[in-house]
Amino acid sequence: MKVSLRVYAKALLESIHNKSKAEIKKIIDAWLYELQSKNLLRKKSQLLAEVQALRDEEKQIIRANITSARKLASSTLKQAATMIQKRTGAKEIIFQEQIETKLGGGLILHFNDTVLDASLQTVTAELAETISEN
Amino acid sequence: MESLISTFHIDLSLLIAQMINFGVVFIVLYFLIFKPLFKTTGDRAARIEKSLEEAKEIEERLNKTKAEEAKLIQIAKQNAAKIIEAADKQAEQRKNELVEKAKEEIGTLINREKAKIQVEKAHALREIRGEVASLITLSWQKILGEKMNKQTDEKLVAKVLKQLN
Repeated sequence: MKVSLRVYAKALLESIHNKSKAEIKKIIDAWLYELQSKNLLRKKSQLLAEVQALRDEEKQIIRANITSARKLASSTLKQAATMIQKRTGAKEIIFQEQIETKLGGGLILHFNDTVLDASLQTVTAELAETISEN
Repeated sequence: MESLISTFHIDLSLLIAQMINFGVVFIVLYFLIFKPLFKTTGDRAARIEKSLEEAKEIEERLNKTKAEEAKLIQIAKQNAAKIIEAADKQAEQRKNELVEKAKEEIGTLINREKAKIQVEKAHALREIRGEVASLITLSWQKILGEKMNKQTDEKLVAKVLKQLN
């Protein structure tokens, strides 16, 4: 039976729960050995992503991409985090910031399956589309 | 009787001889001339009569033929008139059909051209709108690019986030 990467990731997280550092080290070694025997170490980046996703689910963390034309102030990031928390019920929001000057202004927020595009680039593009259609 | 004979010096034997001579001549003439002559005359009269009858019959036939000819001509004329009338009618119908078809074709052509013009117009309008939209977008981006700084951008982002809340 083929076991998915998510199952391996889940097994690891459940195994290390409430364990000491020494025990965790042993568990991780055994886990890596198992992966090697199944020839799954080549997919380590995907496995780590699964581990992180499962941990985020457990801790109710949401990782969001925030793209803007200029670096945003911490107060703005806090405001964005509050907004996402209200919408998702997450306890913690971790932002990955990106600067794209071509946006002109505003921001694009991407979290879970949601994209909130309030950039000037998109606004002007929508305006152009509206003028073209009418 | 004897007195009469003596008065006129009639010789009985001579008279009888003459009578016999006359009879012989008569018989000879009758068989050799009169009879063939009467026959020829009779035949000729019969031929003439027959010819006259034939001529009459021919005349009658001619008259009859003339009448039939006239009748046939009349019928032919009537038929010709009917044919001409039918041909005229057909020609008129054909003409009407052709006119109708031509009208229809012209209508189709006009409609097609109208549709083509509409499409071209719509295309041109779309192009113009596209150009105008590009110009407006570029102007907007230029104006906003010039006006936008960190402070205004922060204000804008804050406003957007407030609206999303």
